[in-house]
Amino acid sequence: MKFAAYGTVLDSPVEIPELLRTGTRAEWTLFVAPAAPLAREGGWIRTWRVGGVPWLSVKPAKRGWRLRFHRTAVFEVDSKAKTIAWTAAPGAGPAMLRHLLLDQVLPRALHAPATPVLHASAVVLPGGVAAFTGRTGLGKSTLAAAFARAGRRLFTDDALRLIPRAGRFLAFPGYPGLRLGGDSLGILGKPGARVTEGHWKRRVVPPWATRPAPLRAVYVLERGRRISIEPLGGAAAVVALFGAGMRLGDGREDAAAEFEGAVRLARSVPVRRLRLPRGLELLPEVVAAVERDLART
Amino acid sequence: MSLSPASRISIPEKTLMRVVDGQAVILSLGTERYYGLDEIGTRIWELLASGKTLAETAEAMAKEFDAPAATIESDIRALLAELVREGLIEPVK
Repeated sequence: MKFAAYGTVLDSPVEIPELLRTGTRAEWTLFVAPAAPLAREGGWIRTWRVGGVPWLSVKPAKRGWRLRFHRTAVFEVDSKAKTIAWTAAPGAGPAMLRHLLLDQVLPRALHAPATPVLHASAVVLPGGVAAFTGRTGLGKSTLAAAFARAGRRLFTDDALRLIPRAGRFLAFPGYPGLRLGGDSLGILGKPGARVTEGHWKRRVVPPWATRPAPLRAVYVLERGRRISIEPLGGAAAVVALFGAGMRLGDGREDAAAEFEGAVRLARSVPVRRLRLPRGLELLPEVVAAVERDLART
Repeated sequence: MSLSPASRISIPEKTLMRVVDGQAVILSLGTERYYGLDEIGTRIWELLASGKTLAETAEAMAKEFDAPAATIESDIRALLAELVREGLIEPVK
């Protein structure tokens, strides 16, 4: 079965209901091994933690990278053959595995210094795509929901794939669905299904873009006392874009190429610092400020 | 570090520099740290990287920015000291 996502096509032995089926030739192939207890392994070069508990560890593999989502699954990405092999721990639910594949593994597998995948939400505005990046918890998805409520079409929730084209960057839509939790769910007034079994967030699907579009600006979110937008130039822009890259490793193994990639992106698109205070009631003002800023760009 | 007006600098291979929006963005592959220079610092870097001595750089900057050469030279020395300390450039005798 072939499914489209992030401008590529994945050949999968399992259904992926979050994605659209396609007849186009697949670029990537997914292999699913029978569920088995995850063996103890060492040699991880980086581990991300949630609440102090290991969540994801990565290490180089023979022809790519190995990703271990602790107690849930191991994925092995072969960057040359363009395959992703997953082994799930017993009891790991199919929705959780698809969530990890679509929101974590596939974006990282697609990332390359010259064709980056940014950890960002994005919306379609006049002239192209506005992307919103920044550390987890600042409200990238919530801001995207506010744009949807204002009538704008959504582009991606978590991963924005970019390909250079004629001196600019062409952005590819992510798969439809915003993951919202808590009070943010009220923005669009639709409850949606839980992201995975027991997950606190739900997936909501507002009107979604289906075609690639030029990237018009990147907004780096920061918490502030009042809404403000200011240019982010030079080193600050490059560092922000480098930090937003969804990589399999941590960028050190290809630092020079990653640097050149971030510089190229910073030179081709305006990068802004968008400060926003807490408070869902302020989101319409944030939306209006971004629209005005982009109209002037 | 002691620099004379005739001093030049060399840029090691582990230092990458590109200009974005008129500002130098520098990556040290050795320390994996990023640095930024403002427009004036960027111009100083460009002049020194082209092979000019400290004195020649100060003279060029004094003309471009219509400022006293002595003040400019003092600023250049301060910047160079920091760049050498961070391992981004090396003085050449």
